[in-house]
Amino acid sequence: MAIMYALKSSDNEIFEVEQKVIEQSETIKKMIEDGAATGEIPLQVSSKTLAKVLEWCKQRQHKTVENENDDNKGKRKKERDEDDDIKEWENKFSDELKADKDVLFDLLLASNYLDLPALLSFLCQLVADMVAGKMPEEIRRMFNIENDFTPEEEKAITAEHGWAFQP
Amino acid sequence: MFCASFCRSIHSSIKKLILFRICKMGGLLSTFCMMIKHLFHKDAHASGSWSDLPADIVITIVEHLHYSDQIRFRAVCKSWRASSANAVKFADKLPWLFAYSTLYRFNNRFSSFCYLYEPCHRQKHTIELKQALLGARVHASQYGWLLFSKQATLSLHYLFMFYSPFTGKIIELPALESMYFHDRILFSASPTSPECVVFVVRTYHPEEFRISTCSPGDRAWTMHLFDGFHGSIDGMAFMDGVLYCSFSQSVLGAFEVATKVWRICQHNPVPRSISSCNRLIESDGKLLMPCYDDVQFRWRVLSFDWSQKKWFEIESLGGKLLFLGCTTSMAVPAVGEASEFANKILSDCFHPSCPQIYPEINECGEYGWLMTNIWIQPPEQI
Repeated sequence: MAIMYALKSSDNEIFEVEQKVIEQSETIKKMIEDGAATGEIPLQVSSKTLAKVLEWCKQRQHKTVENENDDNKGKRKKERDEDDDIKEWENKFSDELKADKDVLFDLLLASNYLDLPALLSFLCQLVADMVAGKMPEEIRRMFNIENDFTPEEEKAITAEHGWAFQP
Repeated sequence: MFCASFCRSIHSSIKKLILFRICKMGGLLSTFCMMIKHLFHKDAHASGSWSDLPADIVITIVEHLHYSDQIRFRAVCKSWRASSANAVKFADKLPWLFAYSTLYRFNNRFSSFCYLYEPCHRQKHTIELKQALLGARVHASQYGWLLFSKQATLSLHYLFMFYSPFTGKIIELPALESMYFHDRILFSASPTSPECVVFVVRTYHPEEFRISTCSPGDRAWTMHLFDGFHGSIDGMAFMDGVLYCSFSQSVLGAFEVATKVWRICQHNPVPRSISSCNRLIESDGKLLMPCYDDVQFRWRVLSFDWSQKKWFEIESLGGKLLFLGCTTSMAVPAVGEASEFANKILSDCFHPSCPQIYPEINECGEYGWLMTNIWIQPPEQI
């Protein structure tokens, strides 16, 4: 019987999660080990974001368990198929985040706060892919960022690496 | 504006409430630590501007970017620029190409345009060469810097300067009293580092061998004279504080920078069928010498065994790939975008056997002048 924990989002929604799934978060794992996690674990993460975090953790957990249960026979083929499945799942996950940048932003903060290095690295790579090859103005538009450089500062920045700002 | 401050006040009252509840429970120290973390963690509903991303997240994003994307990313807003100032990695695994023309144009002027070719975006950037570098000759390319020399006007002296095509910066060195065409030149570290030493090595004199050294900031070059003639210099490499020179008469020389001691060792002659053994490459503490086999029409790589004083052939590059050039050759770990080229040898030549990951490599410059291509890695600092 799997041990379950109740996570409470910042908007008071309760999520029942298996210990193994949620222990991927170093922050929560530490709380459990210290015995501080009795009853509900309050988290400063909104229910919308927490649902996404758990979606990621469950997918990762699923992958590790399956690998442990495999014997070597036919493992290679199975691994290849699984890699394809994971790729497909990750692509879908990425597409959703690209479409809703508020969720992406919240998830970045949450993965940092919950200490989920694999998720954080995945999200940072996603943001990196989104900005690759784009000009600063396009990036500002994409993330709704205000240009707070003075014209003089901007001129100095672009002058130093002029070639990188050529269209 | 009002709405944002209202949300913030709600947020802080929630924080206080949680703090109160946990204190009441007589929570453990770790719980208290958690609370501190809670307080510093801004719920996304309260902030939510991408320019407010915490610095450690910004650094992680930046380190997933290629060099040119880092430059543009850092120009988005002040906070991203400040947060990423200490980023130390970039995603580039393949070297870039610097291309320039050394030939005269018809109206007796030098071409002032050169290019930086970026393999990750397959993009060619045009840059205007600094006036001081027109007509200068490039000798070495390392750590994102090129080392140029140029004869001074109305003088036999040669001016030396480092140039970064990425930033346009120039670092000048003292003039050297003379230069021969066969002098070989190398430097040991980025010219912005105090470790940097430039070596000009000459074997022209039939019984003497000379190494001139100089560091950025020095007022003059220092000459080191040694006896002996071992033929022409085939290749040079710098590794662990030692400059290595391979000579045509089967001799490998080693000059230790700290002690100024020069040692030579006679080794086995390389097989007769191979030629173009004119490059020495440092790779993971080993000295490699790529040579072209004129009989088998393929590259072969020799590695030096110090205990036996012998060059022996290696079958695999151990997950590296080699970039060969007339000016600079380098070994690169075959990771990331470079992984598909593991154990391959790429040359800046026009040979059809060279894998074409750099499609513009054969392109001509303005007015059809052929360009000189040089491998260059992005600088270690943005």
